[in-house]
Amino acid sequence: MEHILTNPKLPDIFRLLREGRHLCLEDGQLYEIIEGNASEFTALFRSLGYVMEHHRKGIYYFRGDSPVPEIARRLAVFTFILVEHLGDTGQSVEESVFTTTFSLEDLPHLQSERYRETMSEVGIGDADSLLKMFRTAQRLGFVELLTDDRVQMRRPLYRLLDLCTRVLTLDEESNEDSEETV
Amino acid sequence: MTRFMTVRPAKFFSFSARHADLLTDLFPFEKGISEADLFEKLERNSGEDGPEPEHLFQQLRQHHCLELAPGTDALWQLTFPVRQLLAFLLRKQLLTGAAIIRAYVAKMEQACADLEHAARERDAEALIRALEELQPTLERLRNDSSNNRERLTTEAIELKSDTEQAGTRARFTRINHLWNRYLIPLRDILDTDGAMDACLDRLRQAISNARIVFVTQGSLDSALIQTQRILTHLRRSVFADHEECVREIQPLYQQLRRETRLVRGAARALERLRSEGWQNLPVETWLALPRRTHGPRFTDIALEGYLHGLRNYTPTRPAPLRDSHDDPPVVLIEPAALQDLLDRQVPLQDVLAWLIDRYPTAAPADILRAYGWIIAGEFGHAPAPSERPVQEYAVADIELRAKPLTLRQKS
Repeated sequence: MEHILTNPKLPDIFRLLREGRHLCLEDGQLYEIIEGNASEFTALFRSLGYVMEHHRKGIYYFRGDSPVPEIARRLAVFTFILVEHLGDTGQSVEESVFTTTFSLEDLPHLQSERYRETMSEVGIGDADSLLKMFRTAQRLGFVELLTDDRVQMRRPLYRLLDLCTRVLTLDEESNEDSEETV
Repeated sequence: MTRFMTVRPAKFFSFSARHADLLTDLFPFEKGISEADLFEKLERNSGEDGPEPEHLFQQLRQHHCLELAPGTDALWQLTFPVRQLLAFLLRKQLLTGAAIIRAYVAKMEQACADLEHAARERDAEALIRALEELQPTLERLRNDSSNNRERLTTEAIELKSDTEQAGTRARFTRINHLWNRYLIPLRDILDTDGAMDACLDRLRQAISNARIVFVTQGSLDSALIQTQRILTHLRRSVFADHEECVREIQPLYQQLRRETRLVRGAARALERLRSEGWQNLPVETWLALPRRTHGPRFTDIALEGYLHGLRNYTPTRPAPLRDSHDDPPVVLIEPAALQDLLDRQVPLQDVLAWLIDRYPTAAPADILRAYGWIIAGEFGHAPAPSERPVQEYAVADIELRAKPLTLRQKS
């Protein structure tokens, strides 16, 4: 473990992960350092009381033990609406999410009445609050704000896409249970 | 139903070539097209210099291209042979399902039994009949397999490219139907040790045996050889066709399945939020985002890590302290023990020399203390100075000079 303790990028890596940042290939050297020494970093951070996790799509992040509902819910609702909208347009959801640069004003979240209502329930009622959410999402590594008007999704967004399949799986399991009960 | 004159092939193909676009336009109407819609198309295809729609309509019927849809008197459809030809040309052949393939396998098994019987009975006519029944079945199977490949490839291409017309769910519904209705059941039949494999093996063996029996009959042997070749080619092509279909469809199926699950999951989540709120959607637990903290922290992560590493340190007993000179332990001179010793040792000619000799490890202070007790007569014995001159006595690292003292017994 000696060599990672002396790595000059260690303080940056630790600071970013501790702040909730998700690191991936797009983060260049920082990601490569972790990827090349994943087990040592996991052990080091564990000794400091942090759990570093690895997502199958090549994402490293700290698992928090005190949930932050507001931010999580805003990000979740944003993702649910985006995925549903892209599905209805017939485009490939995954491909569109990660290859499209979205203009904030063209996003569906504040356009239809149903979506506006859902967004307002998590405290996003206008373009300013939507932008504020994106700034938080950027800090966490889920998106990159190219300008105040254009946003690009980053690989860590896969964690948010996983929420969609998780909901469906829970539903299916719940239906199986009720069929067994009957 | 009105019967028309036989159409010569040249005339038929010449007519079809002139009106290929119209025929292609009519192809999608599998279940028939209304007369009004039909005439609209005829008008569009006629153009300014073309025949009148009514005349074109009659020509379509005369060339066996168009007929009334069965069970209706108001819907028109392409005739089956024309439809099949167009399906072949457009690569939109009807898919052959597992049930039909099983029927082919059953027919091949029957033909196999007939061949075996003919060989056993050495019945040349029975052999010819069996081959005549077998060959068309093999050809239809090969043809249907090839059609399936063409059609499924076309479907896959259309599904990949037609993203504007149909949503993800509609596309998945289509590919799911193709996957489960055609590919999976066929895979079961075509798998090694499956029905098809066993049947083809048996046929191959039956033909080989028949060749032995009818080896002297040249024409029969030629027919058997030809059937053997068709069989070999069929085996290769049917399995290859199926593999190609899986290669085209499977990635798209898996992708659309995943995408559909994403879209369905998102829709379900929004539905739940609307009806139940966040109650059963603990997204904050699932995401487990760290909370931003403020306050003093170790800035030196290496030091912090080292300190945390100390948690694993297990202390051991310290090594015992040792004298730097490795001297033996110090002996204290107890008065009672000295009394007892003196009682047994007196008279003494040199008390100090005796004390040093008796207590070699005692400290100089202890020797002198004991010497003082003896001089003071505390033990009852009478000390008296001797006639000898002053002596030098070494005690530890000290040199003492004294006149020797004698000690007599108690009186």
